[in-house]
Amino acid sequence: MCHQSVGLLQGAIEHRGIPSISITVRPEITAHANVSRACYVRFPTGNPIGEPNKPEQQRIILTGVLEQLIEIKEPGTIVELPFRWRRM
Amino acid sequence: MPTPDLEERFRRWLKLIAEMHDGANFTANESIAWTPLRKPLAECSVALVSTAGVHLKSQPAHDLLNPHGDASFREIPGDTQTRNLAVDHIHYDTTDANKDPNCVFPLDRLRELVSIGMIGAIAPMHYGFMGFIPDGRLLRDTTAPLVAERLLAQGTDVVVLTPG
Repeated sequence: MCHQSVGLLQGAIEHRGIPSISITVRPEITAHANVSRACYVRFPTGNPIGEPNKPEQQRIILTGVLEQLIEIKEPGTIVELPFRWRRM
Repeated sequence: MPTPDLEERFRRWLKLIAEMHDGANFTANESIAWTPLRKPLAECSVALVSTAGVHLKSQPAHDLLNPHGDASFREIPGDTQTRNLAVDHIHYDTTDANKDPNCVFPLDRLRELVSIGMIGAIAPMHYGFMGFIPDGRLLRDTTAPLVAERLLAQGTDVVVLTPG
């Protein structure tokens, strides 16, 4: 349900005139949320930016998400980022 | 992106929330609102908005027990030290997020991206919600437009949104 809420907040923010991008770990919900831009990462709920105390991994993910603000040109695009969950 | 597999997962999820939560009402945006990026990221002030249940330890947690959810928000200043954040939510495992709030609310990472010049600035204020709001209309009609207005008023150029 966090994803429904993200979708509605993102809709309100874009409607007010601010470009935005969301991260999703539940693409089946985000695909129905009507959002401008989203990045899908195959991570568990609770870890959209990655593992705890792994700043380098988190930075790579956040950077990848921000880059999609530039790359996505088509409203409603969900891009899967090439990260895999491998907790050691 | 919808595929037959995703459609099936979505239908199963809708059935589940209808069974579990009285008054659940899946709410989507009626159409896709789109604002183009107007300037380079290196000149943008970036804000975080999360539904993961993030708040300052000095602020009250969201109401986790209300069956109708809690559409209120917490304002989190951009210079907050992450040790002063707490993450409360009962619909996902918050163990990692409480060990390191950057898992759901990457304030430290944003600060680093400012220091290397990838983004221009970290916004003065960021927003924490607790995403369990079974009837989405409550959020859509009350606090979502209010927070969008505040983000605009503080000069936010870009918003990054994270779920739990």
